[in-house]
Amino acid sequence: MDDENGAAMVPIRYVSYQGEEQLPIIMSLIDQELSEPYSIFTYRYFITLWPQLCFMAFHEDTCVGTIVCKMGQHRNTFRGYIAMLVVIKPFRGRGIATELVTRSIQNMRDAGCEEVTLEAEMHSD
Amino acid sequence: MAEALTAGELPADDQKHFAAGDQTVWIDASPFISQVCKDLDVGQLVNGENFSLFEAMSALEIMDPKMDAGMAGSGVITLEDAIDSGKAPVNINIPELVDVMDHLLACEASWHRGHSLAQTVFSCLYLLNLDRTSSNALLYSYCRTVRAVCSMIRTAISTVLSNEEEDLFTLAFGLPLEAEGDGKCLSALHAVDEVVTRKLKGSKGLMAKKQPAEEMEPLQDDPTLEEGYCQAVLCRLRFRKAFYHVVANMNKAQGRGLEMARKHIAVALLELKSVQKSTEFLSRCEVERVSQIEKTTASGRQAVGFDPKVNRRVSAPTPPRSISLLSWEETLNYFIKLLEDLETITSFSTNLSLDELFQTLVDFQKREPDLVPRAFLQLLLTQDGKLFGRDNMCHVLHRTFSLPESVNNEVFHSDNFVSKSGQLTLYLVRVLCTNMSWQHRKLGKLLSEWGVLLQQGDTLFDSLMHKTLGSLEDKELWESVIMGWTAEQTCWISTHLLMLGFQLHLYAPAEYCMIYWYLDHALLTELHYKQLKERKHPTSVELKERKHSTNVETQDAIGSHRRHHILCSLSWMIAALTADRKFSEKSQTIFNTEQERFIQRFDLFQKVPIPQPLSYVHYKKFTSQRNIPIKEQYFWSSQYFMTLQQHLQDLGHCLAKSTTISPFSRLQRTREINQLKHVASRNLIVLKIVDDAEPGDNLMVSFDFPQHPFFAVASVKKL
Repeated sequence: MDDENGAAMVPIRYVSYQGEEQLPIIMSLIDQELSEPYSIFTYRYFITLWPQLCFMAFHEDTCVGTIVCKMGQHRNTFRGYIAMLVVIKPFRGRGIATELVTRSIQNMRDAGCEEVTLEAEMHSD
Repeated sequence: MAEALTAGELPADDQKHFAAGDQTVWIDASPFISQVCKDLDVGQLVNGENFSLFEAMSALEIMDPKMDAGMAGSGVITLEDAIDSGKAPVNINIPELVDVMDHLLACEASWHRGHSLAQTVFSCLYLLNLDRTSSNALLYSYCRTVRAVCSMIRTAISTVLSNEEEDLFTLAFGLPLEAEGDGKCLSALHAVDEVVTRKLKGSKGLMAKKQPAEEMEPLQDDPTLEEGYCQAVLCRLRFRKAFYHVVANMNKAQGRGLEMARKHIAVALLELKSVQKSTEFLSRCEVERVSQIEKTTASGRQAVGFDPKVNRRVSAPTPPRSISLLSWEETLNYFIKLLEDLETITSFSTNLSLDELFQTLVDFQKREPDLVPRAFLQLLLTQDGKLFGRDNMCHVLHRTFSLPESVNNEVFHSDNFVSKSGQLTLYLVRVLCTNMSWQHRKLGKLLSEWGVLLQQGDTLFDSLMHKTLGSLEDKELWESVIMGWTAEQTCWISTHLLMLGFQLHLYAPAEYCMIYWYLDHALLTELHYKQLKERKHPTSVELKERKHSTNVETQDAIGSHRRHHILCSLSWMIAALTADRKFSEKSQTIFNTEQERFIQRFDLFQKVPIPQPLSYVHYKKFTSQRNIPIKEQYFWSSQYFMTLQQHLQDLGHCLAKSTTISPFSRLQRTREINQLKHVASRNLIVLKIVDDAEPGDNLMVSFDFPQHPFFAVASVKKL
């Protein structure tokens, strides 16, 4: 499905995680952009258990953004957690991350989550 | 499949090398695993029962350069191997020594910034076995002082306990950080300082008058470079000495060392400037040009005697990630900032009132100080559970309330309300010394506790009023003073908490209006109690003075109205723009209604009695249910901005005339005045534009924070 992102924007395709073949794309994108290194086990943990919370954003044939999440019971609430969120530099500021997050949260909400959390790094510069 | 596996599978040679028990043999399982893999479909996994997220996150991929620190450089090395293979020569020449000093400084800065000791300061092979360097006086004394300074800083940070691992790594994992006699390292440093100073004089030919019998051995071989190297070494030694004194004095309790620290900071900054200048001389001698970003020494050469992998087995259970050290330039900038922040701390009076102290802390945080200066500040202010390490909190409260002498100290101190308020106040001081995220988290909890204090007021208060202050006349007056003070603190925490949200980028533009509106409410409540305090203070001599005072602080306190004006003007402005459809941010997202967002934002405040909780209904009344025409709303918003401008003018005049304000406060107030002037003038322009325009969504207004961190500035675009 093609989504138009505002005027003068190139169309971005949003795809839900379908299978193993997409895992290398996701891993290399996240490895490239995030400083925290993740082992393949970590990727598999999130994506195998919650494939419906993993989305990719494609510009033509290149994956330019992705999101990886989980959800589960946390004390008294059913809660979603955004583990990794990446959009490559040239494509930032266009609402791609917003769209990826929105799609994940929609699925979390449909599954019964009452809240969503994430952690963000504070950069001094 | 298992039948295929027999001992015969393994080549005979290999069988000899692998140990096997009585009942066991080693078998090459590769063919077996390949076969099994072929049986799995794409995407199928074998998942161990006990292998979950924690195990996944702790796992490493060997030879992945991001995860496997051993990939950086080559070979595994122990300290003994390193020394034996000549990686840490003691008889290094002067250029090499300078490189070691520089790289060590970079390591130190990297440690302060959050990397482990093992991979930074203790990647220095000399530090791992200091005694063997004793024949090289310069190297030995310098390294010993580094060790002593790091030890002092680590102790300070561990004492205040307001950091997380990412901020600074205090665990030493048995690395030799503490050593006997390090307190005497200065005398060794002083001795080498004298020697090098003499050599410097020698190089300048000033020793010409001396008897020829006194042969001065030069520092290094090349006479043309002698002066340059002497100066380079000297400023590094002197910086190190001064820095040691700074840290030692900052550590002294009750601010006893602040004066001396200040003097040594000035010296340290001067020497650091010389170190900076020496970069040109040192890098000139170097043929290969290393990029600015990568070099960790002034010369650009890699320093001898360091190996980040040497402590691999000593560190945390999981092998360390590879880190990148701060560059030479970043290192110098780090230490300059550190010293300047410490200098600011030394300028604080240790006789501030609570109000003045809170304001000072808020102002200090605007400098965005790193963990080390913040830790020293916290140490100064809260050591031993006393304010400034000296004043019992009950005494502080006695003073703050200006209670008469007739109130029995002992009874006052044992009062539950007093001790609880004292605890909460000291905790607030502690929290205000931490970083913004930590502050935000802790202030939320603290606000609840102050709320409880207010609510429990009745029970705790009875005892205070009837037993502790029972001897006083005008008990009702004291009741309102003390309760008023408690209410005022609660409001202050509320406003500070809300404002921090801007600095942490927690609010979406759609929420600015409700935040400003609630903030205004909290601030007005705070002002109310402040003014009650001013009026009702029965024995305050200051009261008479205040009425006629052009004192800036007074004007400031009474003129907190300026904050009220700007909050009013902003909330009116955004509400009007929203009604006029010129503010494009939707207050509803697809997940939450505006009401839900309101509830989420102010849930905490609903549970605290003061400031009086406001509901969403109140908010809607403010924004959309008033029958005030849009043009009139724009008018009122402009009026508030213009009144603000007048206030700022008056405050500016007071500031100029004031003789009592400290230089630091003056700087902060001046800066804030300028920022607010900018906010007011820019917003007034936008208001004029939207007022002149036709109603409706023909223009789009957005808000940003180019000047002031939490009062937004509007900009407008045609659609």
